[in-house]
Amino acid sequence: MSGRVRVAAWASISALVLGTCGCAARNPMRPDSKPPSQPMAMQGMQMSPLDPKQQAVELRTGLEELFGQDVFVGVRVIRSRLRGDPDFTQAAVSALSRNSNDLTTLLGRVYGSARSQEFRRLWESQQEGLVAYARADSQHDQAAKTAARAQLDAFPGRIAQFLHGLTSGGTDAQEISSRLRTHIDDLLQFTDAYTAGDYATAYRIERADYERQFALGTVVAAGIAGGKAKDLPASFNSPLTRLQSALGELLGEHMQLMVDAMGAALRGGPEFSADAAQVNADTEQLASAFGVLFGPQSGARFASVWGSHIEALISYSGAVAAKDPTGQAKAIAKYHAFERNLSTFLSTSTDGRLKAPALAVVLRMHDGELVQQLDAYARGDFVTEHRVIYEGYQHMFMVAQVLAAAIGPTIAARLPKGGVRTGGGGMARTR
Amino acid sequence: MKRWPAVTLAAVALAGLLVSGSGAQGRSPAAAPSARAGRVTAAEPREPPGVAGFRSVRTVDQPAPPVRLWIPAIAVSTPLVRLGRLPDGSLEVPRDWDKAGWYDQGPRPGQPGPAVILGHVDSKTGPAVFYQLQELRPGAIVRVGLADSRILVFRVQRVSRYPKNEFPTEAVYLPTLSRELRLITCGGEFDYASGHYRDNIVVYATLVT
Repeated sequence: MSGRVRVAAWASISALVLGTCGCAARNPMRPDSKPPSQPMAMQGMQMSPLDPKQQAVELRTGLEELFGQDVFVGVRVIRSRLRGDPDFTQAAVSALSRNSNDLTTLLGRVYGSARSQEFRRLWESQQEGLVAYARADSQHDQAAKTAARAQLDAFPGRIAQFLHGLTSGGTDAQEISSRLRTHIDDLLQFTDAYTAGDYATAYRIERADYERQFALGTVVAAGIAGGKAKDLPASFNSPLTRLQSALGELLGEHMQLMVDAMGAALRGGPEFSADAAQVNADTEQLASAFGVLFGPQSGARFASVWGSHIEALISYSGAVAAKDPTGQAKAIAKYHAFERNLSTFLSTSTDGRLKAPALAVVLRMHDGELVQQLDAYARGDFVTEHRVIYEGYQHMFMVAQVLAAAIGPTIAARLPKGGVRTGGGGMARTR
Repeated sequence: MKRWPAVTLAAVALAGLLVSGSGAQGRSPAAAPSARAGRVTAAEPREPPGVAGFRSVRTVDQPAPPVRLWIPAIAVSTPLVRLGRLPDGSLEVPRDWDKAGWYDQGPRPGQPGPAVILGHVDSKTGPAVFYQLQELRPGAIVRVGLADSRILVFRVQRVSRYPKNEFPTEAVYLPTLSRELRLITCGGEFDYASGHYRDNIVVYATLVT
């Protein structure tokens, strides 16, 4: 099935989850809201121009998604270099190139192809430096590591200056440079920790870097949409946009961390517990979010149902490693139960705004993608594996958009009404 | 309701389209993984250590409730009382002019989302706990003490004034999942006919540590 058909199917499903009348279209907080659209990257391939004021939300969520994705894909390239697995490396490099291409395309929709290609050259040179460092690390070549580090030092400033010029001063060069320097430090520290077998530290750094790069996407988008005058459209930072962004960050992270944990469960070895710890950290944040949105009991219920999904997929990975068809069947039955349970829970929580049957289908697609990437990994089909991961990550942002479109109005209907009466007037004449 | 059969069928059809030839849904579990699976899996098939014992986190930790507020820039140090909602849906306000309160049906300080703390600007005879709230400026530090003795530090981002009859409920209260704080009091002109100020002052702050 082609990626384009797959994305179209996801978009259709997303519309079905919200019902044919569409929560998004009726959302009182975003009068201009439209039904969930295709992921940024797929839209970007068509190079339709993007108006950063009118389409500020699309720009923001797109850059967040892509800068965040760059971390996980980049780490897979680095890790495969360290492990010395050329086939995996090749597929991971292709995925990284696809991410760079999507980033370039998105910028190109605002500034044109020629300018965005300049960004791509700088961005990919930085990535090459990171891979060179990993290669040197794997070969215990201290001189090459030092040279790679020196090469990398130049990029934060160059990329930051380029973006500053591109946005006519909309982005702060010092801030972007500082953020990119931290990003490079993160990935170099990841490399060193991974090489040393300190997987707990390595994966903690990976997750922290994802959060930071996701935020870089917000900052760059704000610079583009707001310009030097910092005149951002209201939609850019509206509560609904921020909710969608936060859910996208956590769900996208869930997809990527599950890929890492399932792969580690398949391979065995000490990496698994470090991966699993990060999956749990992401789950804690998601459950905490649902607790805040719908109350503490709902948060606990979410954690329980979501946890069953994670445990089922880890069990599936273990059963594949053990060549245990009975174990696989049990795991599949468990995650199918999760799909029913979570869709019912979310439909109830949103007062029926999310349609349970269609939502169950979306959750089954998500489970299907996680299983599919693992199966591809197990049989050494790394090209399919990376394609499924890439698209599965994109789909999480569509899910986030759908969830936010339903959760936003649900919560809005329950909020306190109006202002507060916090004054007796005794100082009114002197204020 | 009438559209559901069609919707469901369409959804299932799309789902079938998506999973065809892939993943576990479209085939017998016994067939997975493929014959080339040995490339990545261990030479001797067995479940890797640690995998069977894995348990996903199933609980949600909630921060302790807030009990005290400090705002050094305007010399505020006050205990915090619990506040709910009034019958008209608006927020309850502290009974004591000199104490602030926190809205206990929203996020707690330190949780994702905007925690809300209210205080009076004045009493009927003199200044109250949030008399100088509107003088806060971006960058000012706000500390919230929790019942477990932890102290959270927030930094003021902006201070806004809204007419009460145009109060931006969603901007102030809607959970965005960022760890934030809202400090609210009254401001603007006093309406002697109604006995209330016309505006609200809202201080937006974000968690630092």
